[in-house]
Amino acid sequence: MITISTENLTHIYSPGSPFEKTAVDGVSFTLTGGEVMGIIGHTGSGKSTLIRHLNGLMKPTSGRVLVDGEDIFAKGYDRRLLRHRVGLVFQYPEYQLFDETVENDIAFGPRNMGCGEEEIKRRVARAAEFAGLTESELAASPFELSGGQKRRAALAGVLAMEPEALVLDEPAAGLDPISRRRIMLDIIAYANQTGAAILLVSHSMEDIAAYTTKVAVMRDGRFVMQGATRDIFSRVGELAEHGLSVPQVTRICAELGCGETALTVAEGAEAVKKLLGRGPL
Amino acid sequence: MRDITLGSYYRADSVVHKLDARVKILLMITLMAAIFTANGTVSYAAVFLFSIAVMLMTKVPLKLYLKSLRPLLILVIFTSLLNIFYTHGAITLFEWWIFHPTFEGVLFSLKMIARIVSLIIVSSALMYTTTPVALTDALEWLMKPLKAVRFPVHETALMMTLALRFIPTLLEEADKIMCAQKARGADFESGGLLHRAKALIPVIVPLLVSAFRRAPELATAMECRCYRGGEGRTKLRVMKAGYRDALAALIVLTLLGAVIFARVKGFDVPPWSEILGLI
Repeated sequence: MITISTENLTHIYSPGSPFEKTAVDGVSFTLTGGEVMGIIGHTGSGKSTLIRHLNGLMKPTSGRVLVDGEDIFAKGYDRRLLRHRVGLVFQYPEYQLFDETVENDIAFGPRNMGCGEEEIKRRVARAAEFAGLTESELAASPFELSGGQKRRAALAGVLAMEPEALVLDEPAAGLDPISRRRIMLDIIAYANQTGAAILLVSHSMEDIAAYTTKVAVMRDGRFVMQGATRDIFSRVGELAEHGLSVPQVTRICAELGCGETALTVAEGAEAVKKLLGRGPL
Repeated sequence: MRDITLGSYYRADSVVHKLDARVKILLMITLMAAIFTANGTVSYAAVFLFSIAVMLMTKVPLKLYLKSLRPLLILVIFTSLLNIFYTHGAITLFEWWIFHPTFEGVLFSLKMIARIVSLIIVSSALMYTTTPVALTDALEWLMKPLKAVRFPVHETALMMTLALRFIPTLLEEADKIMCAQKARGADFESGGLLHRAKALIPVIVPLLVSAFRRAPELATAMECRCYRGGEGRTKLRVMKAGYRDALAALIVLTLLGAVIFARVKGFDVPPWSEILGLI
């Protein structure tokens, strides 16, 4: 099982110039296989910069990134190999599709890893299954697909590398509600079946509340809150101070005085019923 | 790639920054003419010192000027060495093996250095003190006479402005796509030339696709805001040349005049052999 952690990770853009900007400021956290962690925060709070460090695409100005206890920026560490283990799905990943068919595009990752043709086939089929891509979608050109299909094709491109950790930057942004739910469930299914660690960056409090086990709140490059999802979302006032809200159902339950923090509509319904003294149906 | 600045504009509050871009372009051409006209030692010194003065007036860090001089350093050193050793003259400094550098050679190579350095300083000063937008606006204005021969001046200027506008956007996008493909195990750094060129396909295809997607979007957005070409279009920033520009023009034109005068009249310091003989 993979363990990713950061120690006082700091990233400063163009240090020493008039454009100097501290994007990530002393961030420390640990993520292990099987966990689903969420990062929330405003645009420009440093989330995207932070996650690019986790597979070695960016080098920290100071601080360390450790994978299984090893410093990934130590001399002689193979960061290309690391990228096979830590999959990174960028924002709007559909804009990275390039090959003639979806199938070939998904095969790009495994091919770069040096897999044999048989293995590539197996991985593509498995990734397509996770992402819910049909035979005809696999044979199509990525530019013929709809937005939701493209997004799932791009996700499959990363899943085909069978990473032990999956880092996703707003995987559901700009999708319709059905595609949104579908892609989130695909990701969770992958995590459940492979035991991968998931790091989810999102602006959707509903998604974070429903799918993560722990959450970090980022503001101006720093982790200002960190803890279990239920715990974080029970601190409504503190979140509001950081300019963030909680899911509507959580707020309704809090205002009704349900006691327990409800994270999903189902939990909210239970809590309200309990409050009304009717008990579960 | 985030810290990429367009062109090389350096924001500062200086007299040169405040000059009208059209005037600045014309004055740069005038100054270059003066630099090429100079032939006497005094003229060279005047032109060189004037360039240095302009450089100091721009309030742009000298480091930046040195950076633009660096690529030409080898050329400067090479030509000045050739000049020192291959110019024949009356005063030989010393003789060693096949080399006998002359005083005239040293003087000539100094002049050439002054010429190259002045040219770079003057053109860099224009680039450092003028925003790309102001530059294109000025070029559009200066190209106006070409309309007579049906040259699409406004369209050309618009194309330049748009191209400049989208350079940082496309660079950022290219950076992002490269990162994403690297995350999928792409390798851009190793292998031979062919291998590396092939490795760029996964970057170039999405980049082109997004550029082609962006173009009609931009066209639609412009049409929605009633853009319909250059005819009768007014400017947001009206370029105005004032007393400051007139003064600058006067100074530069005087310099050019003086340099031309010196060249025509053959005015220069008396022959060096005489001066050195006196000492």
